[in-house]
Amino acid sequence: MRAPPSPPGPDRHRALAALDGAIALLVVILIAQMWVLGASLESYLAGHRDSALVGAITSAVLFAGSFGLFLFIRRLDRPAR
Amino acid sequence: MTTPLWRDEVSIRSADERYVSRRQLGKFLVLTSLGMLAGNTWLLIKAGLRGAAARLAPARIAAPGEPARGAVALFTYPEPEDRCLLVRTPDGQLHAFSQKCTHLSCAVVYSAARDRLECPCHDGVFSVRTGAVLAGPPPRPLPRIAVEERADGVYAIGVEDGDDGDPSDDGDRG
Ligand code: FES
Repeated sequence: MRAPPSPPGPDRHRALAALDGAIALLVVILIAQMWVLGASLESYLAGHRDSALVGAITSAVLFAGSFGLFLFIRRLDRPAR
Repeated sequence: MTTPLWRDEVSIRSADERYVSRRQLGKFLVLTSLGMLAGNTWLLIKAGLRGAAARLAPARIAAPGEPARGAVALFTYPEPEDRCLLVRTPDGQLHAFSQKCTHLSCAVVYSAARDRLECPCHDGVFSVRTGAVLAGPPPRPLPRIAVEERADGVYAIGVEDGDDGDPSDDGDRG
């Protein structure tokens, strides 16, 4: 038989608040990444090849941030289950 | 108060539900972020490949004496998708450029009446002799294709990135 789900206690509420914060940060990172991709594409089409490298590095750094948040979300998951 | 049977079976609490849906949203956002990185990486690879193709083998692009004075011939160089144009100006000189506008990649065309290259998308204008920007939004000159006239035809022998030289050298501004 399955165990009943944990009651929505203060832990769950704290996790929910942390999750909201992480999502807000993720949205900010995503907007920045969209801007970087758009700017790199425009620059590439205009013939500036060097800007592709700068764009890729910036995007990688931003992705590292969002991956960090992903790990945070996963960690948040464990005690909450 | 007894819990209805379906509650036992499905056991969803609204806080749990909210938590799960937000967690899913978070994961989706991270995946989208990975997609953006993939886009940037793809651009980087494309830019690298183009850089590697700077030293190129000669290719025959037109028959001897072609095109006629004031006329234009289209060809592709160095790759089949790289469209270029070869113009013989009224003074008999040959000039070749990439056809891709340096603003947003529309195809530029030769205007024989004005003896210049024009981009119809946003009214960009380039010199037909140097490729320099004469008017409009393009930020850089057109990449020039080095050409050579040999006994058996006209050959493209390389691609030179357009330098930001003084367009007034050209003498055909306006
Ligand atoms: S694409 Fe040529 S002027 Fe904009």
